[in-house]
Amino acid sequence: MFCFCFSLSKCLRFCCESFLGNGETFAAQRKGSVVLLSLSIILAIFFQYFFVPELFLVDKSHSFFWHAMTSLTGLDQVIDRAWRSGYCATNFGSGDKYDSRYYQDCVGNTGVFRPTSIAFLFFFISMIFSIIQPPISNAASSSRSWWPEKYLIYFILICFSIFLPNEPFFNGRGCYFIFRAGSILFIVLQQIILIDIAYKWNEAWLDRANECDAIAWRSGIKWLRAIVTMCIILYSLCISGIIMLYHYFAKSGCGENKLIITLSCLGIIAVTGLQLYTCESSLLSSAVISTYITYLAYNIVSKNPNGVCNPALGKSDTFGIIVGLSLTMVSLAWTGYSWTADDPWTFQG
Amino acid sequence: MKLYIYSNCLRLSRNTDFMSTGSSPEDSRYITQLEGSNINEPFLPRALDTERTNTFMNMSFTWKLNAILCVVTCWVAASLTSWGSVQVMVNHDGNFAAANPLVGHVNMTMIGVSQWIAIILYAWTLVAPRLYPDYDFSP
Repeated sequence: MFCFCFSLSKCLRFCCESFLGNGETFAAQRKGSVVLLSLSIILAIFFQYFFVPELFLVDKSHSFFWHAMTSLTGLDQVIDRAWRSGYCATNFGSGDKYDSRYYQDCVGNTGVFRPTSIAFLFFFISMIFSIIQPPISNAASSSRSWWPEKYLIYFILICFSIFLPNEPFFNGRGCYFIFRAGSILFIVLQQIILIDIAYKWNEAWLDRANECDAIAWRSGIKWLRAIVTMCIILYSLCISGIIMLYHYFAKSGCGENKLIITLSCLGIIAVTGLQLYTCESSLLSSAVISTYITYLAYNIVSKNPNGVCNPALGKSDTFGIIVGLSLTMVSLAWTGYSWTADDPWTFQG
Repeated sequence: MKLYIYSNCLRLSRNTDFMSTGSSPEDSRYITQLEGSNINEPFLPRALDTERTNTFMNMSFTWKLNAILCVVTCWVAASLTSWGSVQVMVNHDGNFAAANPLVGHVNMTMIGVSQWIAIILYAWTLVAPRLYPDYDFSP
């Protein structure tokens, strides 16, 4: 008993020290964190699209995966019971109202929640520790990288979570609401960061123009010309983007897409007109926001599940699935990489 | 003439800061600590200077980095599971659409919401100084 307690405390101390180890540069921390996020994205997609379909195979005798699992005695049944249990079984497990695809999709969602909730926990604990900085050890003051330890803890937790049943955490009441609330927060935060970047860009170039003017009279005009050129480039991108969207995504019968593109167009006109009327901000900020709105409009219509209205929808052959899944991985990892860029954080620093 | 008006607009632009994070007492303490440790050095080379700012950033931005990674993880989980809804995606050829994990009406709606949040927030930054001329928006 004493031995167990001792090793447990050792283990806890190890974990705390690894989470406290912040003796790196910001760039190194960001790299490590984004790699961890990408790993959990890859694992989530693996669980959702390879692991769960294997779990729902009717005939498991030909599956290499299940041969491997049954050779480790008992583990396959533990995993099968753990993943099928919980609210998915009670909602979709029986009855002829739903076919087994809904059940499979529900279990696939819990497969996404396993790695992502552990990554969430990981970042959350790191955040708490970096705020309060408990004086457990002098790990924080050492300048070496603690990422190997952090990855080790992460993989141990992932292996542990595979055997964990759905019910206490990965159900409709636990993860779902945390993730929905966090995503709404992210949506708002994204827009604030982007508007901030749009303002800061104009500020930076105006400052350069003023600096040049201070050295030689009217020499700052080249920076003002650069701003106007950038505006023209961004607005032409924006207009050609809208035209392309109307051409490819707004076919007859796609009222949804037409509505979305028209609304974005109206939003761009409204924002630009308002800016020119009030003279409050600058045209460059409006150009950045307009281009962003166009990009988001493309992002919306490219997620239309109706294949007639969405030429970007891939085919469901093996090649299409591999391309689609890897594109998804890259785009999600890019979300993590770009929104943690140092620029918004270091402008004040 | 028009160009002149535009550049006038550019000149008039305000210094509006959303992300302004006033320096907390902890930060200033850290600065004094750093300065105290380097007080005997008469001259600081540029490389050392950037290293010092890196360490400073490290201390005060770590929690922000982790906070934004938390919400990005939430976003990833929500968009991969289409916000926790259970739906079967069918392509126009009637197959299960594993090639398009992010496709769905829920994700469309949420990106649309974020688009309109961007438009409304930006419009607000334009209108707010007009509506409340007495309020000082610059940090």
